[in-house]
Amino acid sequence: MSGERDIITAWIAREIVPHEGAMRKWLARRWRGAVDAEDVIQEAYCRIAGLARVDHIDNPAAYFHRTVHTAATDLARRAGAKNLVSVTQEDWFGVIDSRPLQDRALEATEELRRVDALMSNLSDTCRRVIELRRIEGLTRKETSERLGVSENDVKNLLVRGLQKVLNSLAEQDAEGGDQEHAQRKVQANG
Amino acid sequence: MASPVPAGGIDDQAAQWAVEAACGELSAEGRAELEVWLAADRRHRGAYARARAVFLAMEDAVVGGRPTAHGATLRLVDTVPTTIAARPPSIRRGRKMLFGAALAASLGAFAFVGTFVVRQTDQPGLAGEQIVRLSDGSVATLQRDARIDVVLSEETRRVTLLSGDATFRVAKDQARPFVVRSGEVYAQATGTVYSVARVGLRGGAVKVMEGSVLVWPGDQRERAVLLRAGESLTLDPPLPAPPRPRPDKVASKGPPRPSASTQITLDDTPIREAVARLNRANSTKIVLADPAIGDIRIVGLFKADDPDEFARMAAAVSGGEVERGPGVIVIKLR
Repeated sequence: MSGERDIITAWIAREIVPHEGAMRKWLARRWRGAVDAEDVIQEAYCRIAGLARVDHIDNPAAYFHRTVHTAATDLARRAGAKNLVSVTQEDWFGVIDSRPLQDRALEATEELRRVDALMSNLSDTCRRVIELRRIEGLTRKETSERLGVSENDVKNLLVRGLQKVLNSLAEQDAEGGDQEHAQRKVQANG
Repeated sequence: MASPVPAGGIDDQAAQWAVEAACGELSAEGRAELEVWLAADRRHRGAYARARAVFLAMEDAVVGGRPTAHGATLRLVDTVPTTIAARPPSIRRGRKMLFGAALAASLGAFAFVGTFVVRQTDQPGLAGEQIVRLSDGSVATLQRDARIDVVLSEETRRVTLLSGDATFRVAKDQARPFVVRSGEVYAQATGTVYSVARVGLRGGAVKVMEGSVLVWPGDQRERAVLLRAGESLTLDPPLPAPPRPRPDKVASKGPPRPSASTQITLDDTPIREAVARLNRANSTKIVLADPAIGDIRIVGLFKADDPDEFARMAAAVSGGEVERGPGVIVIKLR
């Protein structure tokens, strides 16, 4: 049970998270203010996390796009939004799938690089905690003893690091120059 | 080491839970708090899934290609509410002392208001019944074979019905909701009398004797149904889609639908109330064109997410007919 979930979490980390920025941009462009982008993204993750398995999904990016699209449609309908932006089937496939393959590959690489860039802004202490945990397999208690800080400090370091990355990811929907903006925010926080 | 419910935006809270869960050091109390938080809102669940995945991505980015101590899938510990069976049952006839000690040891001291004592008052009422007094003043009457697991904290009172059925006379405390969990079904009250029985592996039957109780399946608290005295509701949430062998790979066949074919049992319930329930849960609304239809009582088992089926049945019972419009289903007399 726990194993299945870990597989899905790892899959989301690898295949879905890198595309979040692109999806947020798409939401901002297509749906303008009709739905709350934050709600839509959370709903999409909720649906994807509920999957029993993911190995049947060949194109995770397209799957994510479609999940976001239906989540947005459902939320807008539930909210009774009058200004529904209707996206036709062709429009949809035009956005997602019919671009040349090399374009998509390029974009995917770009997205991955962007996420890596966000991660590189983590503080050294935070990286050290992660290394102790993941590479040496220390528990939180052992980590705190090694670093000479309280267990709570260890937890807070990780929480703050994660919060920064989550926020930076969410900042990616700004029109243009979003990457620089996100990084500025990270630096300001850290 | 559990923390109180984290403050801040949903993402910030999700980050705290994700780190707690990833470190695998959530106490029973922490886990209960997490369950409450997750059950409160689908957005919480989504934000939590996202935070866990991003945390994993973050760790992977830091660790890079270096070998890890725990192999590729590391130690993310599953804390989503499916762990009941794995937890030792805390209350059992004849093991009360053990229960107190074990529970006290497993929970942070901050979680309790005063001492947590369970006393058993033997044989009042029917044979086979067992009466358990909780430290908040609530009384649980356990039927034969019923077992419960209790966690009382400053913010919530949570009881898990491990098996059988039990009646709860809940001490009034508006600030601390009293939530009974039966499988994947939750029933919440502040002060009232109600009984809960296990149904199948994941379901529960809730019957209200006094006051009112909110009942919801799994993480769908926003779809909660309000039961009043005299009403009962049986929910048997379906299992999440079981893993099926899929020899042919299908690319993105649409997003997962929330599997919501939860069943509602209506026991001599006026159609008006049943309609109100269904309308709360569905975007397609049922409208009663004639108030007389609303007074007719209906009995049966209905899918909570299928207003069409219900409307057909209600029309059949009331001798009316169904008319569909965009987003509405009108039931009117012929």
